[in-house]
Amino acid sequence: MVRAVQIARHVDGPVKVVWTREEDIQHDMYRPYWFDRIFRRAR
Amino acid sequence: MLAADAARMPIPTDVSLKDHGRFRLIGTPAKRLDTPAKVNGSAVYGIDARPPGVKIATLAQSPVFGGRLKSVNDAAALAVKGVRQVVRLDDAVAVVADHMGAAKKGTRSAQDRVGRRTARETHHRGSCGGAREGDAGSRRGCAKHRRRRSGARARRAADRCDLPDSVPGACRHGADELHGSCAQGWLRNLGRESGDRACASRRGEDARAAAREGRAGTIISSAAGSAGGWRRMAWFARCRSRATWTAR
Repeated sequence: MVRAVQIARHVDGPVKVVWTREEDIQHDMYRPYWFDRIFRRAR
Repeated sequence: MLAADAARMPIPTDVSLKDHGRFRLIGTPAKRLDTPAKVNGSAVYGIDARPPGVKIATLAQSPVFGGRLKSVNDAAALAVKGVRQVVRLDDAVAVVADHMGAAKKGTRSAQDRVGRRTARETHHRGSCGGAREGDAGSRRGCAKHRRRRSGARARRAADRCDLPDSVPGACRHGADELHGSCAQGWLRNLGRESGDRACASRRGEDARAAAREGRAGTIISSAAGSAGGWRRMAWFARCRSRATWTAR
């Protein structure tokens, strides 16, 4: 959304900012694989 | 941006919580209002909206965090049929066009002159301060480059790369560096979380064995069993074996 605003400020008229998949994931990390093993005891 | 600005604010010490009696939303069903429209297909998503006269823009950001836009080949981008405008931002370039196809093509063309560097190259030449002299960034360098230059400094840098458990990506190194010491910090947290330092691939084995035996209760992550998850684990394991870092 921030990018859309930054770009739109330079453009005369309506503009729709569409991210390409490549750009979208450039700075992201996939969530790491994760599992938890939990032991509990109730008295 | 907002998150960066917020990070600079002082941490409040005395936070007064709202009185339970004044809750308006907590404890109510709070149903989603858009479910029917999404289910029956009448919902219009942002990407489907086409107001009259709207132009489509797409963008290319600096491939590394903290990188700045150096140059843009406006002429090449504007030469693409349908491209209307090239927008320069500090750390990104956007191309405005009549349709997405032209915008994508234009964005590619606009970057031609800088040679479409890969993140790794940009990292070495740019944000890491490998090549540019006199740049503020050239003083710092990332942990990896420090390691190349000086063992002791490098080790300290690697030590600092101790990430909070919940934000594994929040390292100040460039994106490229995520393959190195940041991934290490991440791994370290994985190990610490369960009280041992089993390496990532070992954890993968555990989970796989659990899945085979149907001990579903041991696997909580929704990524369990997905091919991407396994590949990612293998990737972490590789990172770990390649890098050196100090464990506490």
